[in-house]
Amino acid sequence: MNLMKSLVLSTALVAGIAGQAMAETNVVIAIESSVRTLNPHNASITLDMSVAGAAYEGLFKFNTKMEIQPNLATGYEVSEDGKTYTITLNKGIKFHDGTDFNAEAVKYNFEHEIKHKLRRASLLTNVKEFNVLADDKLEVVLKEPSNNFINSITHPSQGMISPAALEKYGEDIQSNPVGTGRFVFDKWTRGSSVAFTANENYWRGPVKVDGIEFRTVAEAGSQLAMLQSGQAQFISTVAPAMKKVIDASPKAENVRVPTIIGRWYSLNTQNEIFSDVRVRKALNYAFNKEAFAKVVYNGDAAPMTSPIPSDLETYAEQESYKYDLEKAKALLAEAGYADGFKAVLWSKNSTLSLRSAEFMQQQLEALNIELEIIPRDTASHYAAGDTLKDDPTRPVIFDAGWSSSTGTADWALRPIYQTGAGSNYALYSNPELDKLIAEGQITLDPARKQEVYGQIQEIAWNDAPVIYTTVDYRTVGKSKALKGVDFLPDGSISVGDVELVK
Amino acid sequence: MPQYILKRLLGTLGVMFVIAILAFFFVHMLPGDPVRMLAGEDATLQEMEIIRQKLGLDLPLHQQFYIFLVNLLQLDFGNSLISGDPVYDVLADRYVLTAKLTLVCLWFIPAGIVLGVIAATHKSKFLDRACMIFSVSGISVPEFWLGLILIQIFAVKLQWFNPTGFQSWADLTLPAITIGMMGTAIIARFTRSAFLDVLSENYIQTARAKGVKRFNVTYVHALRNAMLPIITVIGLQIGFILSGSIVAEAIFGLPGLGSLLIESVVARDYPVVQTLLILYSFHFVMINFIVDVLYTVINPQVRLK
Repeated sequence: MNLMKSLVLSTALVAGIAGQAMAETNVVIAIESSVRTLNPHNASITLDMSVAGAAYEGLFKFNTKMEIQPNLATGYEVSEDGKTYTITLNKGIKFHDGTDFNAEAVKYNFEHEIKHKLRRASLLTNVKEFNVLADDKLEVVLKEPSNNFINSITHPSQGMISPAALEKYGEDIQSNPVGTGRFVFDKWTRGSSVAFTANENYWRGPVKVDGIEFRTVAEAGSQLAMLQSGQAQFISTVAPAMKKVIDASPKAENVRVPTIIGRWYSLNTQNEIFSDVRVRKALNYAFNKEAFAKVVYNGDAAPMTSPIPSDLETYAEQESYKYDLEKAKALLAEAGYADGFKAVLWSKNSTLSLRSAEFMQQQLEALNIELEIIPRDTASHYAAGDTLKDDPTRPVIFDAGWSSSTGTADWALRPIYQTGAGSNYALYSNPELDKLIAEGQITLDPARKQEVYGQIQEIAWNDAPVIYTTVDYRTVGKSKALKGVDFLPDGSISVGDVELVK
Repeated sequence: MPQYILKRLLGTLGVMFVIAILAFFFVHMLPGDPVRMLAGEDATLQEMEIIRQKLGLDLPLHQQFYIFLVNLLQLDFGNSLISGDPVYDVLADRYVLTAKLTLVCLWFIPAGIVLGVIAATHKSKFLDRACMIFSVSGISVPEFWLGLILIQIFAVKLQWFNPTGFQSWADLTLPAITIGMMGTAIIARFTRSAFLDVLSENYIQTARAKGVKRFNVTYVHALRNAMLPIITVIGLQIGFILSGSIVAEAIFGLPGLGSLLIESVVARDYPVVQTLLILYSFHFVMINFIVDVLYTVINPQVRLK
């Protein structure tokens, strides 16, 4: 009887241990909004590219400092005129469906993007042609010399899709991703989750978890509960009040990441008041960035010290607009506005944007400037911004911000400061700056490039077509056991060598 | 009776048609540009123009309306601007989830009626007070607060349920409590006042005087007569729940109709928003219709009028 008992017990015990060892290790990542497409080439939202990134790999990738690292490619060479790039690829890699990854496949991907006018083909507009030199060598010929072509194809949207799958699925590739990545697509439940399983034939070696799932949960409090209960190992949103709870937890931790998301308020420079640089400078001096970061962002922001965030290439620190009300008043008086003036502030209507707008309103009150806040939802806000140029005399202050998704200084400055550019909500125009921006794009010599962008930053900063505020920091929560999932400064979640350490 | 139902159904069709037209113009009059939302903040004007043409949004509004009408008459609601999938496909899974959630939320009907009856039959006594305190709290407690508290207690501390997601019916327990609380509270209050009205009627006194058992008086004679206003309110509540709960869906990570509405409005996904508006109206029209039919079943007088 006793023997029986211990036999049963030990069998159960062994089975239990075995069961535990066999237990699936699934990593769950909670994200704040729904996935719209899993075709990175056609995605406009960084989050979509991040999720697709579990299955897709690009030729190069950004590390946590936004530096370019080889990925599917091993390296590249640039011709002296900056017009021909020769990219060398890793050999022996296969897509999830068994198709070979080679120079032909890369060419197919890029050409497919351009031919079908996919959204992210905009990164490839400078390309003249692709030539396959060998199985592992691709030559890219550009129309104009460029110093940042590799940045363009390192953008998280430029993952490599299996050409056979592109043929097979057509537009439906957006719900059937087939890449070379660590994870193979399993299931997409619209509005709720995207699940992947480990790629058994991954070219870098075995994957250390069985699967990964991205789950949409909009409410930050629920994301916290998921982390606390072990339902999720990584949460994308940590509300300020939740940080303490996570800090106190033995199993979880906060990770605070600097981003390349800069924020500012564009001043309509076509308006009479804001056309005076003294007024624009006065507003910059009257805005207390440190207090703003603390009060509005709960510390998850740092003052801007240049028109571009400090984690971008060629960043050059500028002389700060230190909070100085007296100086601001003096500048305003000099410009003839000692008694202040009235203006409108067009703001987005998210809680954070409204708090920012109210903070701005209070700060400018000290200069007798009366700000009327007009909040709009994101779609209406940018639609209104696009109409500014139709009636450019209005005293409008426009809530704006930017993240240079390619990690280049060019893409951080050109869309904002070039005359007539798409996001130039200050309607700012400076021929000298335009010339420098154009030069920056084609300058190959690194020293000269640094010099040109240094000058652009200095001119933009001193001309102050915007009120510079802060660069975002982002706090994400993760289980201490989770390794290999990172939040990058460009706002993407990078899925690398994922592991759950015991 | 069948004639009455047929007449009502035909009227319903007309109402739905008018609603569809209103939905189209309402949605297209919203400020904001779906192309801008689709292309992203850093899109150039040329890129936006390409997308606009692809989606047919460059056509004049009356032409878009004509296309909408022709499709509508064939019950084709178009394709989502965001995903490109037919609106049917976009809606299907979410509708199923919302329907399931509505089903489990129906606990509010018996719960509300029982609470209301207990309160009415124990008027001004302890049980009445207790029921009404519960009911007032049920109406006043915000959904997001209740939901998060339930998650913290039952999912994080006790680990009885998953905090979010929908893998099994058990996952709908906490959302059902969260969403059903409001309905329970409202029904309880309505039942109580309707019941008190009926209980003071002469025929109830007569029934009692005749010696009909207290239970029969309450649950057969009084309840049937008190049901009319209660059914109306129940219908409205079901209509609201069927529209999807934006708050509960956000908290519990459930992809139902509520979160779809928010996502589509934010992205100005015209066809999806239109279809949702039409669907919501359809729910209410149908519920009204059913309530009216139930009226005639419960109270034959209504039929005669």
